[in-house]
Amino acid sequence: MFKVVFLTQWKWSRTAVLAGVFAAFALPILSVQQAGVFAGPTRELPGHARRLLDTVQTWGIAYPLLALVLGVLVAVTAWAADHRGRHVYALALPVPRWHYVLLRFAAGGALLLAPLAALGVGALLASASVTLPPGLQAYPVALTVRFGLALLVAYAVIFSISAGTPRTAAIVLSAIAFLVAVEVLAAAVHAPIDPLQFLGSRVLSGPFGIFTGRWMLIDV
Amino acid sequence: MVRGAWYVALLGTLSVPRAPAQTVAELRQRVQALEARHRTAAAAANRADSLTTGATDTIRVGMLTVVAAQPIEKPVRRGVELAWPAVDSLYGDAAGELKRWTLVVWDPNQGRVPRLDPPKLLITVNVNWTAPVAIDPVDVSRRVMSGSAQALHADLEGWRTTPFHRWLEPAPAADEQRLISEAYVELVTLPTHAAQECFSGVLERCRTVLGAAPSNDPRSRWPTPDDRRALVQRIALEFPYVIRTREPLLHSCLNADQDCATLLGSIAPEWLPELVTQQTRNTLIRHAVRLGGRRGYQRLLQSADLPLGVAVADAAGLPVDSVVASWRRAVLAARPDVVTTSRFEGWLAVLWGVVFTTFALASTRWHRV
Amino acid sequence: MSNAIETRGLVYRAGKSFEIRDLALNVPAGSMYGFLGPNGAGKTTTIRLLLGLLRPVSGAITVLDRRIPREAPRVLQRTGYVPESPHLYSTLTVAEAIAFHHAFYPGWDQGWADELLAMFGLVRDRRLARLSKGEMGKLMMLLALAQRPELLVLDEPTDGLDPVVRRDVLSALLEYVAQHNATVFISSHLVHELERICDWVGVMDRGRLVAELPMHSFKSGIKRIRLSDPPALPGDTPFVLLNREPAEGSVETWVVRGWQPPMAQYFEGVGASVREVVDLDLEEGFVELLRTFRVNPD
Repeated sequence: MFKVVFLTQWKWSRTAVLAGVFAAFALPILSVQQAGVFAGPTRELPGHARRLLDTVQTWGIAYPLLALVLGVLVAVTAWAADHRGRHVYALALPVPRWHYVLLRFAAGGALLLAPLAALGVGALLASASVTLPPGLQAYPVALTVRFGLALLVAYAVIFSISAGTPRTAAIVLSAIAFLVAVEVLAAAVHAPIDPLQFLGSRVLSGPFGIFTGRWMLIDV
Repeated sequence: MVRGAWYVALLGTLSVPRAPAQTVAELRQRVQALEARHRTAAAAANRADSLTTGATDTIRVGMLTVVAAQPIEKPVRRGVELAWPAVDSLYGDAAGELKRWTLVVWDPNQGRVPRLDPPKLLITVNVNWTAPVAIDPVDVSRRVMSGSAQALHADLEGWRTTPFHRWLEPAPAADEQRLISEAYVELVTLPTHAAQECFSGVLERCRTVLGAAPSNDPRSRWPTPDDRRALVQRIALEFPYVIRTREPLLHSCLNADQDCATLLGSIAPEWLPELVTQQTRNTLIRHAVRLGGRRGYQRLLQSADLPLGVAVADAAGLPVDSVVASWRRAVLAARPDVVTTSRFEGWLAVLWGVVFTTFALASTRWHRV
Repeated sequence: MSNAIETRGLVYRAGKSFEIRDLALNVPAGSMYGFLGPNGAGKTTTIRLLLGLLRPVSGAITVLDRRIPREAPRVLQRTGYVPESPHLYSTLTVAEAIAFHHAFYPGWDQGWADELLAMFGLVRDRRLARLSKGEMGKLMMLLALAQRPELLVLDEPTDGLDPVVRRDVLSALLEYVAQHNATVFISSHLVHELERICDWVGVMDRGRLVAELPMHSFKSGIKRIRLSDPPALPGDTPFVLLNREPAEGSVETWVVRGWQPPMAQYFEGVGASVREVVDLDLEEGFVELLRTFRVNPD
């Protein structure tokens, strides 16, 4: 069962997954390459370590972004075909609903292992290809682990919303619309509250906390 | 006005009955009662001030007196409340000077400045009347901290002529932590052996890096041949016109340290860059002031015209090596969080994943097939 | 004879305007049960309730001796389902769709699936999105049959298909039923189609079951009778009077259900005389049944 579910999901998500694999592999390599730190005289130049950190930091934003985009795409494509058929086929299959959802979740998760592995390999290659100044260290494994966790959270969140009914989506959208309305109203009466900011801070320190922090392949 | 508040507080104090033999708990209770009376008195005095100054509100927190236009009184009060602990913790007893000043928070778009007797200091705050939060209290607190620093230094003559910039502004705790974290990154990434040795624990090198070494010669900050070569390369990159006429020395410097020393000796000291940024040097000064307790800042100002090493030692009331060692420990402890995921963060992410997956597994789709 | 499908007091509501009320179905095992009803009667909703795709408000559903929706997965393993509209993943090819379906059914007969594939002339590598309506209908029937089900639930399986495809699909179905003695629950609004193949019929309208009886009873039991001098009040009749309409003069036309020839004595007793008894075909009977139900739902 898992095999056929996986194959269908691969068919639906392969463009996103392959692009993700390419991007995940290339990101760490490009980040150190742009810092001009491959073997050569540049590493002897003063300020090299700082430039390396600054460059790696600039590229750092791309990792959580990639995790988010990949998680969202794979989660959405996992359910797109079922949404089109209004889930009749899935519900008519002789497995409990939770079992089917788990198959879909596992298949998407398995697909996401490919970009995760690509990032790991890319990060290891990038780390191996650079001679680090004293005091700096490469974190290929830690970066890969964090990327994997961010993928998991992004994928799980969007997967759960996508697996729900349009009613669930309507509730979520209504809640957002309500917050926007409160925001507008608060602005109109100069009330010192900012619900969207409040929600943003709670969400970032909650499920999406893993997306924050320093996403640097090379750091102090 | 202020006198009024103290008067009420004094009356309150006198009205509290004294007991001949009081326990610690009783004394604590009495202190709390006095504090409560003081707060009541201060509020009454503030209200009285507001009546006399018209469309303004006076806010007193600690030694800070801030006058704000009434429509923005609440966020300003919150901002002042946030600012005072930072001001007090940095300046200590020196913050007492601030009570002579009135900080006036005003919105230039309103064009109305309350009429107050000097000394007063205007703190400009732009009020975005259309935003949900017209003024950010945190922004106000930063401006109040900055205003406090200006007020405190307005009477001090000669501080601008000191060899280093000692005008320290209070900052929120998070900013202080960020500054010291950046000092860590700077120490690690400095292209000198001196910095690496400092990082490894050689205090003398730390003093060199920070400019707190006994010698005033800037060249001493680049003590090893590698350091000197790196310095020459840096100057060649950043200020090529400075050494354009010394091209032969520049090339031979790569192999001969003597030529590097000669080259550096021929450059005017003002062209020799500092090893670390002023920001990192300030972290040392802040650290010394805090080590010195409530009179640390005052002692620092008294040593304003002395070399940095002496000034920080005076401020802290400790030998300079002790100050630098303590600073180094603080810097090493402030290592920025790298990409490594803590066990807690990892489990939390997995937990969120499980929670949302459970939501998905619980989806039935019964209702809308 | 035990029932393959049985419902008792089944209630379901979809919004404020539609309700299935007190549905009591009895589909005998091994029968071909035609589920008739106009569009919007609730046939598809009933089928989805029977398969556990919808959760009823109240009532009991038993399919193949198992409770629905609690044991729906076990029932679905033994049930072939062809829904009203194509529900398969349109991005898959025919071969991929078959492979996907196969994985979920332990009783899958790949040999027969291949035979049906050849019989229906389906191209393995063609994407479902590019199949014609007839090809899609054949594929869905293939998937339902190749899993060797004990029960086939077919929701308007031939709707919109051309006569040739319809014949292919129905002949494959009849062949399977003949070989395996499976129960078939087939819904349609094409009355003539069911008339030829079904041995039981249930009629549904506005969410309620109007009638449920063997096909032969349905066909032979509904008559149009022309009467002279009928009584103004029929009184206690031995049959069910579905409709009465005046003709010319003192003549009236009655439509009755449950007619037997000895019942002519009733008319003699009330002073009326039977001029003509006409057999109604299934469609006419169906229309009369609905008309009566709509005038007097209770």
